Amino acid sequence: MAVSICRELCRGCGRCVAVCPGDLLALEAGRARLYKERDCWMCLSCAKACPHGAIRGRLPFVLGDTGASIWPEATAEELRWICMHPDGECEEFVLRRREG
Amino acid sequence: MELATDILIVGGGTAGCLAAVAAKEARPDLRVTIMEKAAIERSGCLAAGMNAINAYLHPGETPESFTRFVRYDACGLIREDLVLSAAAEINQVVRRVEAWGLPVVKTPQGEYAARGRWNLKIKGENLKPILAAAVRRAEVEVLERVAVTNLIVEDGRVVGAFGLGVRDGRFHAIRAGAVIISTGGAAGLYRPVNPGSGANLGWYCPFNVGSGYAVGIRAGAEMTGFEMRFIALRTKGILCPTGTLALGFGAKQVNALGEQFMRMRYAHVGGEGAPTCYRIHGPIQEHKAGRGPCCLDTRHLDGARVREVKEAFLDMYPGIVLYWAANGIDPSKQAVEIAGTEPYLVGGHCQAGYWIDACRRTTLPGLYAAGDVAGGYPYKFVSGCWAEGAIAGREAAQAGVAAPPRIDGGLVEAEKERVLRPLLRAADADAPTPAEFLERLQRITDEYAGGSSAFYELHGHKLLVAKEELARLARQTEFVAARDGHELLAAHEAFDRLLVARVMVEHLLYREETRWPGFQTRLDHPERNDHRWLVFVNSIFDNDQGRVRMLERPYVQMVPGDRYLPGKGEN
Repeated sequence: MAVSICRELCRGCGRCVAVCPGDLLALEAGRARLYKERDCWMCLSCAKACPHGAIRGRLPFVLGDTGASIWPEATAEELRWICMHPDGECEEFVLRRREG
Repeated sequence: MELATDILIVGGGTAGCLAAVAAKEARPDLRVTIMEKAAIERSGCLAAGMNAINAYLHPGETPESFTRFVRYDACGLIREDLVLSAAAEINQVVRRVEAWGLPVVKTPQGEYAARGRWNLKIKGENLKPILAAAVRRAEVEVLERVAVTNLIVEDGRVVGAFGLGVRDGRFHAIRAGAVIISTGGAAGLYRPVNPGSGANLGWYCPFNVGSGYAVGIRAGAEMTGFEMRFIALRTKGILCPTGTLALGFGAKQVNALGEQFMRMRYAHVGGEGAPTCYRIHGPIQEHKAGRGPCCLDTRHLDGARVREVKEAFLDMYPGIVLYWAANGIDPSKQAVEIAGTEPYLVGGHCQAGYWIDACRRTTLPGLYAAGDVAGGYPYKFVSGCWAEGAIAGREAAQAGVAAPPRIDGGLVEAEKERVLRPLLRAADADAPTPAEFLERLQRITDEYAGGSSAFYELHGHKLLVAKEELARLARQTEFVAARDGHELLAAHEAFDRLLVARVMVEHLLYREETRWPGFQTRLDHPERNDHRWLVFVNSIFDNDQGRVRMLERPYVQMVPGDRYLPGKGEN
């Protein structure tokens, strides 16, 4: 899988469904679900749109070890990326999103 | 449902957004509508963002010096009129998008910081939402989650487009005074280099499936340059641009022996600065000779610089940072492996697309093209697509043709029947699925039309097999079944890719020389031949006969100078 959605954190607001460029997400019983895992490009537009931090990027196993994930925490001005390594270590990056 | 507009823009990506804003600016009284398969906030090539503008004219450069460089990079054959006309607008369009909110990295003096001769660094993760906001401010109508299925052609003129609602299954017939096609290029024509569940983690946007090419081909538009495929040299695993590492961080390409092979073996064509096709040709030849894998040597970077690399990639391919984490890769200790992608057709890096004039008019009256779907002008990238979109939007608006009052009902019914047909076989358990259809297409192209497993190399004998096999596959179209709306779209995307692949194979067969080693290596015609092949290879599809007619168009040199040298600039 390229993204995973945490059912406990998802509130079913549908913002991820609205932006997915591949139309790969849908609401199911009030929760977002990636129903076409293999078609995901891992652009993480869904994760950026999620106001609840429920979506993380994960590498398909064919490309690397399990246990690593990456997710953004977005505000209008900046984007904070957290990349978790398989051993639980985290790297953080803060990027500017908008001029001014 | 039926809808009428003055200007219909099919595809609200990089080029389409600028076309929409420019059309509205030129003629605020006109109705301008974008038809978009996804949502314009995150659709097309820029969905994940972009960290550089790679076609910008720094002080000292001119449209002529840019054109000379692009001609060098494309091995002496480009549409110079198209490059010149876009280059004249590139800088102003970049400044414009900056004014809309795009952060551009600057020097302490407030100048744009150059990353290479034609490059700027940007903080462009949010680039697509910024473009979308400009479209909304311009009061452009946006029809989202509708995929184009065909152009509407009446009396030889394009008067609109048919679309399929990808979520609701609704069928749309949109009448327009003019149509601008800006749907992007084609991914998925070849077997992906990443297998299984990694198949869509390619370099090019996998949702750009070539439908914009296909609708033009079916309508009889003249196409050019489909033999100039684009095979990108990218980081292995998650396929990220190598320019970020090479231009931005000074990483050199080395083979498994640690040799800087581009300098050793390709100095005569420019070494590491050789035309783009040689930069994929070089590493492939190293692989074939047993000197792979090839890498970008990043071991001169310290921890702080590696953080900068990661930050630059997070603005466009966040997956690579995850890939390094999941594989224990530290670029300060270990060189980053590079490899070729599956081949794509794009008019922005290479020159596959509609044959257009300087006003971006296609050969079909009423139809304009811009961006990756438009041909003849490689090295377009993001800023060139913006400029081209702006030209198309302005020209279409100024032409000011009104939409026809109605569409022939027979045309609408016939298209609706064609589009919905795969649903009729939903109950047939033996029918091939769209995914199986695509799998077979990709097997054929990979084996016989120079896919990654064949080192991208081409040969007339194998291309003839590809032609036969693809024609056989085309006859299977009528058996494909779709069980829901998503599969219905997938079926048409697979059919469109097949048509594009068939035209591509005709082009690959026709050009009997090797003009672009790596992109188009003809083992049976290994030399470049300017006496015979300094021409554009074009095609027109006869939809009734199901045949592709090939034709040639002359190359016109407008900028003087040696066509195989890059020219000089201040930077």
